[in-house]
Amino acid sequence: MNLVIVGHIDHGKSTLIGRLLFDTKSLPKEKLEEIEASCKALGKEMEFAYVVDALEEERKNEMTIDTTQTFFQTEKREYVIIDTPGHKEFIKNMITGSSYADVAILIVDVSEGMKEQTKRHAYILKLLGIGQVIVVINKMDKVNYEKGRFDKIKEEVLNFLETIGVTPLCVIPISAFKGDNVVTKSINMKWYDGKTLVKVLDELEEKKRREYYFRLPIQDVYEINGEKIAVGNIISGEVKRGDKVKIYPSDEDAAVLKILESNKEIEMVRYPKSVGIALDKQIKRGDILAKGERPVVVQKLEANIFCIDKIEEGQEYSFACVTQEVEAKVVEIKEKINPDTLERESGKSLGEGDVGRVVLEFQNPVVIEKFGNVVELGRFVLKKNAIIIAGGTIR
Amino acid sequence: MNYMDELEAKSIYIIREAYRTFKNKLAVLVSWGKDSITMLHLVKKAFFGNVPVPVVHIDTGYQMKEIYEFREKLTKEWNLNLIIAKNEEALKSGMGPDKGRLECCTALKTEALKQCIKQYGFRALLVAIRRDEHAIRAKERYFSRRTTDGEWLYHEQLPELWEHFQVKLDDTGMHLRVHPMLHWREIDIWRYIKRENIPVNPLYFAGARKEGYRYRSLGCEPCSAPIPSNAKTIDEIIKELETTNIAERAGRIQDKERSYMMQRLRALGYM
Repeated sequence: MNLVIVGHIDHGKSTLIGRLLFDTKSLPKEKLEEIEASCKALGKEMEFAYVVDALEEERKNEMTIDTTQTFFQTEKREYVIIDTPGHKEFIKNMITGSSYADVAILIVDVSEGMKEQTKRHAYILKLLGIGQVIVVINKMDKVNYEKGRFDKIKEEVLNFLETIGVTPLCVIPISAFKGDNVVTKSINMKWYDGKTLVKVLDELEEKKRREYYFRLPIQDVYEINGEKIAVGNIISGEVKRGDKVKIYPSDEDAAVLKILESNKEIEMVRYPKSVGIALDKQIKRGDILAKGERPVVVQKLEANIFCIDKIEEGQEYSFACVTQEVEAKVVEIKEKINPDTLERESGKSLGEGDVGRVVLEFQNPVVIEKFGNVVELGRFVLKKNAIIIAGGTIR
Repeated sequence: MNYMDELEAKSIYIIREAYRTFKNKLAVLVSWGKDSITMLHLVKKAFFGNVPVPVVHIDTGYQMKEIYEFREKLTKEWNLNLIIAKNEEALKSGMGPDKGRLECCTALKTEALKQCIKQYGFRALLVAIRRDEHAIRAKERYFSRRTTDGEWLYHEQLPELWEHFQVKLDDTGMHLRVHPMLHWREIDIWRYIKRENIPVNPLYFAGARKEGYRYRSLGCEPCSAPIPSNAKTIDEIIKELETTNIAERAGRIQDKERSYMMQRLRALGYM
């Protein structure tokens, strides 16, 4: 299961990860020794954050710069945990890291409450399509483990999340530094009768991908022994030799002549495999092969996006969804949302870290799906000069 | 085995994206260890039984002899277009680990690679590093730029989102490191090797050189230490990995020597 930890700078993300690894005995002996040596050299007490903050600059400046992944396991399952930077400057690294997650842990320092990045991250999680969110209220040791302080921040967080349409699975009082309620139940917070973070994680159900109709975005076309073989990764469903399929967005009919996997011909293949396929028609990168219910084909799209770099009304960008790439004009920025105040503003541009609602017009028709039907066709990025500057999901 | 299929499909997609953009200006970097051999197997799968691009082996001159033997065997069997990158000059002037490991790795690996890239004009390299190997590698992207000097600009990495990667390069001196195996863990590699019947170097098994010892990670002869183990089959290795508390690269001396050694090496263009 892929977890991402997000939240404002210094609220304890990296320390929480270190603590999780340490308490679940997932930290290799050498790693622990290396961290202890590094701490000693920098004149500090044990810094759990060093498990993930491995760059020299990160340790010396005591902050995470880039996203990273590490692993821990419990009796129940194996976890990938993604750390992200909390500093505003590194929002693109936070977005990169979060894009791999199934579950998010939103961390809030009890003595500070929700800050700007807490809110921004929460909003971005929603737009990235991460459905399961656990809230942890950290540094309880700093406020003497008082229930009142926890309740106050808990209410603040729940109110905010409700406004942006996020329902967290639970809210847990913890101390990553001391270890309370992360893996071990806290003896300092007898007033809390909920579960520890690890118990909540272990009890999460793996979100099953929706089984949908056959969809294969074509990635490339190779010539193998004089024959044209199209390649791509199946993102949904299955296909058999002899099947009749449709090519989108052109809406043409075609028949499957051959299916190749490695150097063998096979009869049938399904998600998540990478395949080679020969049809009785020519196809190219960006075409989507489909069976069953028609996919959605549009030339205009209204969607919520998060920005890594500036998006301006009236400008053109490259819109990419699976292997499709078309020129798209931002005909209108309908709404700019300030994650901190949740105010809806009007504007002609969206800046780094902003979220907003835009109307896009495409030069050519594009195939999409609702995010709930086929994840990959339900999300897209906008690029400028081949660099990703924004992304969104289609609801 | 849906999980293995997902890992495999993602890697193949990345390999195909790299090939699409760079064609034969793309090379596969292999050390003949378990990760690069797995990656080479994936390249073969991606191109339906063929490896259409050159395969580069950085030969430090200090490799274990079993590596050279394995290289000969695989090059023939898999019909590979093999290029050997070697820093002859440095070796002639006596470079070795006794000159300092940072210096040696930089001269015999990083420099050799730089020279090779220049000579052949490679614009992208498939490299089999994984996030779980080292915390510094965990900071990587699937497609990662290197400057003309081979430097890794770790503080300026571009965003990567979902299945969208930065495949374009602007400056003609830059090259791209492509890491299709980033999301694989050590145990995933072994499980896949078992499933696909991928040939591996006998050094990984106990008794290859000395009874009661095996190599968990293969580096150069002077800088790799075996670990105590009785695992003689892939199944036994997998079992061992399921319970160990020791890091994979514990026997790799260059990882330990100086603090932030790995970061320094990588900033200079190491893998």
